[in-house]
This record gives sequence, structure tokens and C-alpha cells, in this order.
Amino acid sequence: MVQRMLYVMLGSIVILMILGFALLYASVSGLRGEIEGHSRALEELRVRFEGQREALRDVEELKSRLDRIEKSLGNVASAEELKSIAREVGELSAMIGILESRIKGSNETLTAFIANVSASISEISRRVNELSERLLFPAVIVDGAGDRVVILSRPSKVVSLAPSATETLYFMGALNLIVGVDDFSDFPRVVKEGRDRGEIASIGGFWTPSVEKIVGLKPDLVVGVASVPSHRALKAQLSAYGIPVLLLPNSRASDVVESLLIAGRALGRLPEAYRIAYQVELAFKYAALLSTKLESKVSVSAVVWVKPLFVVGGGTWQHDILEYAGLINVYGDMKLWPSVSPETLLERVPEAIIMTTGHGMVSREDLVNQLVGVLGDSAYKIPALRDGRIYGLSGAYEDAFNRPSPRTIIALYVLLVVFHPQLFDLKPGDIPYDVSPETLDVAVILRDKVPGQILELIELGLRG
Amino acid sequence: MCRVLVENQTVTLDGKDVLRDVNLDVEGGITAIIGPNGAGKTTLLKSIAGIVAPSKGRVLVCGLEAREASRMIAYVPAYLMVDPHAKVEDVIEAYLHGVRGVDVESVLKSSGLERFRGRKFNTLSGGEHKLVLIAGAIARNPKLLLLDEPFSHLDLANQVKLAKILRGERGEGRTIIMTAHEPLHASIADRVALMNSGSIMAYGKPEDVVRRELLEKVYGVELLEITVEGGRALIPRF
Amino acid sequence: MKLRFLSALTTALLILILLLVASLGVGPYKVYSPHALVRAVFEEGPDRAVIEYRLWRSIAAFILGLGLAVSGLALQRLINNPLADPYILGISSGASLGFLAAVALGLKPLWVWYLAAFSGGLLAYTVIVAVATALGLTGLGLIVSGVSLTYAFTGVSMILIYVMGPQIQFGFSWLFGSVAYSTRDVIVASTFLTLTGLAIIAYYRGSLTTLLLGEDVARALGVKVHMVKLIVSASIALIVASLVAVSGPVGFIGLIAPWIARLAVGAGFTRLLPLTAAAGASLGLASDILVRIAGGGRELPLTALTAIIGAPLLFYLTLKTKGVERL
Repeated sequence: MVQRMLYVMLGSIVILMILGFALLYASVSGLRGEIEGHSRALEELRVRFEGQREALRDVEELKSRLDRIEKSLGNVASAEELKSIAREVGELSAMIGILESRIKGSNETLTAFIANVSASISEISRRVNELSERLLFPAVIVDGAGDRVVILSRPSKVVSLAPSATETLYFMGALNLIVGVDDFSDFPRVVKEGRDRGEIASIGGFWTPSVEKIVGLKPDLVVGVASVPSHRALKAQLSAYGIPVLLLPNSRASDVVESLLIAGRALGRLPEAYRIAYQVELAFKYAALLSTKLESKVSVSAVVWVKPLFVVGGGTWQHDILEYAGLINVYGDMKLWPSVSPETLLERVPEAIIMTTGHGMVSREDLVNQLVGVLGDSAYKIPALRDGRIYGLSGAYEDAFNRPSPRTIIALYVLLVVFHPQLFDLKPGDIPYDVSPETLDVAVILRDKVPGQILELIELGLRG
Repeated sequence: MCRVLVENQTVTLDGKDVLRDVNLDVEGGITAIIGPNGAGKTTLLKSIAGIVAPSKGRVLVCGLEAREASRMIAYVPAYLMVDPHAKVEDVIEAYLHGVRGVDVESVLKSSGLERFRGRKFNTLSGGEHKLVLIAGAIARNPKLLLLDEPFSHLDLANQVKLAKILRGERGEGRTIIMTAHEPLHASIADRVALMNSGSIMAYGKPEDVVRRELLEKVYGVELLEITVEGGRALIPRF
Repeated sequence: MKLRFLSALTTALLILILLLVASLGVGPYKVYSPHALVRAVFEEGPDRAVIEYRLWRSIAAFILGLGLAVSGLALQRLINNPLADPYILGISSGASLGFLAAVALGLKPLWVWYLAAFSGGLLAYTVIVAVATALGLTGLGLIVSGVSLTYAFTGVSMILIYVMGPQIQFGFSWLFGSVAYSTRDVIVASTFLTLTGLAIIAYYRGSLTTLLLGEDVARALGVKVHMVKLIVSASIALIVASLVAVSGPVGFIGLIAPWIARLAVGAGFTRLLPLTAAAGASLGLASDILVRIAGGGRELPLTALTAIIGAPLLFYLTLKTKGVERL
């Protein structure tokens, strides 16, 4: 019961948070899915209501607020107003959460009220749908580079310039729109297979896309990432051909959610994007909640390249994930992915090291040899080496760690399992040092241990 | 006839007086400037050419300030480093700056250098260099011809040839000033200026200036005087 | 002489025209025959858009090659050293640094970027000339100090890029040298500025012809050496700066093109200038075409190609230059 309540509370908090995130128009279209959700919640309440005066009053208040929302919806003049309506519906959802925790049963009067409430919610839902379709395109979106991108109509041919962008589109079910991808996009498998068969065009490297190949595809939207200079340069170039370029933010973990909302808005698929964004946010928050229960945190360093030694620093999604997983990044004070001298490990003493294996290009032994080669025997003064706690991520887990897409959640929960097995009724001895889907099936471990929505997301990410 | 007037010329380079209060008055004919190494011969020639600016005094060439008189002047340096791909024609062409109606081909023909056509300038011998440069300089039809060490690096045949060319140009009414570190070459000049440490020690007819006691003093060595068939030569006693 | 020049120029222009057509026809998207090229231009569709992109890209490569070649030639004449090249002497990296600094400081209008690149290039030129004069360097000494200057400027630029990260929009171009991501406004502005620089250099062709004989002789023959050097070096900096904005630093075309032109017609500046310009433009186009073919869909750095030809040439010329210095 406590856990259930936790879900509901979490859910309402998350909805509030996401509404905060959502941009102007995002909130309009988002309303639809949300209100449908409320309908269901109230329907559930109707069955379980026992009859309590206090609850009756609250539901009445709920009804009156819904009335007000409905009334204001009738004469919405600006997008600004829609935004405030969205905010109010957000508060409403929080109230429903509180109600559910308080109400044990139901009575007939309440049932009647709730039937009314449900009816008005459907009406609001219908109107919001109407409005949002009308308001969706042409869309003006502020993208990850801070530029205003104008999209005239619902895109039907999309080029993705980055693996994380391709994955973001996959999660919102927009894979069928993709006509061209970069050479590094290999997830989900159908993208790689489609490219190999020539059904999806290859547009060149992630860092160096070929402009003429993109132009030749005549896409109506190009999706890249904000951190790649050539993607930024493409913006000015492709505008001459009337092709909008949307750059997804890709620095922090929160940018995964932000990217979903930006892409969802651009593609006119906000409800889908919204649902995934909700799950991602829930997964982050749930992990954070789990790690607050931990008695002590583990200090780690995440090595992304062995020679020279590159580690994960602050301001990256990987750093955020480490934090969500209840770990302390010993290089968190440095920016981005600093190249560090091995001797700094002696000073920063991580208890464990996580490394990505570059798809088999480097192994855990390589890292140990490199450190011992440089530092000599004193390398074993590093707790991670002394205790042999070096974990190598490979396969899908490695990509999930290295790409700021919803798959990030997989990496997050893998780290949770690896470093805090007791949370999932495992013993430290159950955890392999070479961590891949073959050696550690995170979906099986998490079954019945995390909320279904999180598991659903992880399974979606492992399936592709 | 173009008159060259050097008045109180002082040239200071890197804080050192290379020329000290030099006065010179030349009109027509061939004038040779002789003197030991570092006496300031080349600097004097360059200041007449308007290449080196005087720190004091002035130079008038054909009544004009040296810097304004470039149309009247042709200057041939002692050494020249050019682009390794430059051909003889390119060097002559370069000499024709600001000159109209003269083409390279006619210069080659009139100076008898047709055999050098298409040759890379840098592959010529030292003497051939001189002949090409002087041909380029003369093609400008200058009133004043300034030659820095024209006789050095020339073999005996070329020395005679050059002397003939210079006499011919003198006949055309050009004023010619040249430097020479070898007193022997002063003998083709009408007048000789003997320089030492930035000053002119003597100026006059060759027989008056190229004298044993004067040169011994300037060069600080003992000389032998040889007189053969009316000619006179001074050679060092080794 | 004249005949030789005319035939060389005709050949160069024919090659240039061929390369222009090829650069519209060849690319990773599709290779068009000349016939298909003409048809595609008159039909609305993706082919036309691709050719339009290639046209702009070709203009950028054309002007890049032409500008580098002409500035290399003028530079060689100015400092009387056939090994000179704006890239080798650090002028390109100076201009790059200026450009990057302007971008990093967030200065907005395009002309400020150009001004910064121009200042950087001019600064590099002044430093190299001052060093060369002070130490009496010619020939190899000058080249070595130029290369050191290049390293110094490049080092500072690298730090700038490292610190600024993705904010440096032109990171790719800057690091590797490429015309793939040049935008139209920059191409137009740089073409105009490069042609202006070219016109100024062409205007001083007489003085530059005579500078073959060295500054002393040129001065005696009435060349206003100081003024010519000042204006021509400013033109070189102008060209290099505007090209850095297009493509980042690209090396060696300023060395190769004048060398090819010299092989054909000797050292007369009036003949070298058009031939060097044509050879440079051809080299720019050819390198870009090769980059497109070799890269498949991915963009390769232009300097990778130009350096493969240019570096051995520099070595060869260095060996030959010994003779010049002895003279």
C-alpha cells in the first residue's frame, strides 16, 4: 500500500515537473493525454469511494475548478492562456493524487459528481484536441541550440544526424518518418538494417554529414544535436533550401526529456513524446528515491577512453546518471570529458571504476595494465584497483551509457543493480565485472521491483 | 649630359657613419669609385641611386632629388639573388619598369644576348649575370648608369667586352658611375674617386689618383708599380 | 615567350572549365553525366537542389584555391622567397585565431569576424617580417620561424576551441579546413573580398614584376617599395582572412600553384598572376572533388589532400633553395 501511494505521489509530482518543462504549445497538446489520464483516475475513484464528507467537498471543489477551466477554454484568445490552463490542470492532477490517498471507499452522491466530472473532462479533452491540432502547425520551436525553428507542416520525411536523435525518434514511435541517418545510428536494429539494405539513406558521419546527400533527400525536417559544430553549421546552409534543422539538447540527463518534448512538438507527436518523457522522468526520480535509501554512496570514476585517459566530468548526462544511481563521480568538479593524468586517481581514490569498452576495443585488463604501467605498484593504492572493482560496460549497455537518449535509463538501472544489488535482492557476488545484456539481464532483475512504466521503458530500449 | 651632385652626404647605418660629409660633382664620362673593402663605395652608389636615404646632405641627379630621378637612373647591383625560376627575359623585363615601347626581345637582340634566351638566370655564370643586368639597365635608356662592381667575376675576355660596352655608352652621352675594388679597372675611367672609411680621399684623373704612394697609404700595404707598353699597373707585393 | 604563355593559359583555363563541370557532376549523392547535369538544372527536384549545393560549394573551392594561390605568389615576391605560403608563414593561422577569437567573444555581425581575421593575419605577417628583419633571416630561416609562428597561433586556437567547446560553430572547418559547411553569405562576402584583394595585387603587377630584382634595385628603378609592400601585404591578409572565414586554414595551395605556373612561364609577374590564379582555382576544385570522392558520404579535411602534394614539394624546393642562398 505504501508503495502504491508512493507511485501516485511520484506520478503527480512528475506530471507537475513535466508540465513545467513543457514549452508553450507542448502544454496544449499534452493536455489531451493528461486529461484522459484523469478521467481514468476518477473512474477508478468512483468504484472505490466509500463516502466521506470531506472527500465529497474536495471532489466538489475539483468539479468547480474543472468548470472554471472549461469556461475559460471556451474563450481562449492566446497561447499564453492555454499555458495557464495547462498549469491548472497540472494542479488538479496533484489533487486527485491526494484524494486517492485519503479516500477509502465511495458513496452514491460522490459517484454522481464524479460522473459529471468525467463528462466535463471528456469535453475539455475534445476541445483541447481541436485547439491543439489547429495550433500545432506552423510550429515555432526553440531548440537545443536556443534558435527558433519554424516548421510549416507536419513533417513526413525526417533525416537524423545523430544516434541519440534516432533513438529519441524511435521511442516516440516516429521511426517510420526517417528517410536518412548518419553512419553511427545503429539502434534500433531496423535502422541499421534499413541503411544496409539502402532503404534508409546514409548521410555520412556523425561529425561530418554530407550536405548534398541531405539536400538530395529533400527531407522536411533534419534532426541533429546541439553539441556538434557541423550540425550547427548545417542550420544556415539548409535554410537556403527551406529545410529546417532542429537541434536536440544533449548535455545533461534532463536534456533526454527536453529532447523528447522538442522532437514531439516538431513532429506533432506530443502525446507519444509526452508518455515516454513521463516514463523517463519517473525512472530518474525513482532511481533518485532508491538511492536516498542507501546507507552510503560509492565513489566512482567513469572511464570513457583508456589511452589517453578520458573520464566523465561534470555537466554531462553521464555524470547526472552516476548521481541518480547513488554514486559520487570523483571527477565531477571537472567539465565535460576531461583528459586526466592517471596519477590523479591516486589523489581522488575512487572505490570503483566504470569503463566503456569501445565495443571490444579495450578491456578491463588494458585499463589495469595502463594504470600499473604508468603508476607502478602504487596503482594498487587506488581502492578500485586494490579491490578489483573495475566494471566494463559493453554491448547495448555501453551505448545506453554513452548516448543521451531514453536508453540512458537502461544504463542508469544497470548501474543501480551493479552497485546496489541489495536493493534488488541480489548479493554482490551475483554481479559480473564484464557487464553486458548477456551477463546481466537487467529486465529480469527489475521485474516486480520497479514500477511497471519504468520496466516497460527499459524493455522497449532493450528490444530495439 | 646629366650632372650628379653629391653635397655633404652623410649616411648613418646602425649608428655608424658609413659616409661622412662626402662631396662629389660628376658630369658625363665614366667615373670609378675605388677604395678598400668597407670604404663606403657601394653606399655612395646606393645613395646616388636613391636607395639609401642620407641622414645629412643631398644628392641631385640631372637637377632632381635622387629619389625623384628614377626615370633617369639605371642601377646594377654587385650581386643579385632572384627567384630560381626566373629566366633571362624575366630579369630584363623587370628592369623595364616604367619604360614604354621597349620589349624584351629587342633588348636581347640589340645587346647580342640572344644565346641566353630561355635560360634560367641563376644558372648563368657570374660574368653572364653582369652582361644580362647591364643590358637590362641600358635598355632603360638612362641618363645615369650606376654599376656596382661591374668587373668582378668577369674573365679577361668579358672584362674587355664590358669596357667596350661602357665606352660605347659613354659615347651615347650617358654619365656612368661604377665602383671597383681593383684599382686596375679605374684605368678605363675618365675620373677616379678614391674612398677610405666613408670619405673621399682623392678625386681626379686616373693618373693623378691611382698613384702608388696614395694607394699604399689607403690600403696600408706595399705596392709594386709596373709600367708596360705605356700602361701602368699597381700590384700588391705579396 | 608570348606563345608559351598563351598556350599555358589556354590549357589552364580548359582544365579549369573541365574541373568546374566535374565539380558540379561529382559527389557522394550521385554522379551526373554532363547531359544529366543540364537536364537536372531545368527540372524541379532533388537533383536540382543537389547541383545548387554543389555550385555554391564549387564557388567556395574555386575562390579558396584562387585566393590562396594569388596570395602565395604575391607573398613570395614580397619577401623574395619561393618557399613562402600564407599557411607555412603563419598568416592563415593568425587569421584563424582572429576569427575564432571574434566568434568566441560572441561578436555578432559578419564583418566584425572578417575584421578580426584580417587583423590576425596582418599581425602574423608583421611579426614574421619583423622577426625576419631583426634576425636577418631569409630562405629557410624565414620558413622555420614561420612554421613556429603557425604552431604558436594554432596552439592558442586549440585552447580557445577547447575552452569554448561547441560554441565555436565553425569547429570542424577550423580544425580541418573544408568548404562543405560554408554558408552562402560567407561565400559571397569572401568572394567579393578575395577579388578585391586580387584586383589590388593585379594593379601593382608592374612593381611586383620589378621586385624580382630585389628591393634595392626596385627602389632605384622607381618602385615605391614601402608603399607597395604595405598595400600588397594588406591585400594578402585580406584574402587570407576572407578565405579563413570560408574554409578554415588550408595549406600548400599557395605554394603549389605558383610553382606550377613558374614551371610553365618563368618568373614574370604579369604572366604568373593569371596562370597562378587559374592553377590555384583548379587545385581548389580538384582537391574538393577528391575529398568528395574519397570521403564517400563523410567529409574529409581539404588540407589532408593539399598537404600530401604540398609537403613533399616544400621539401624538394627546400633542397633546391640552398643554391639560391649561396648566390
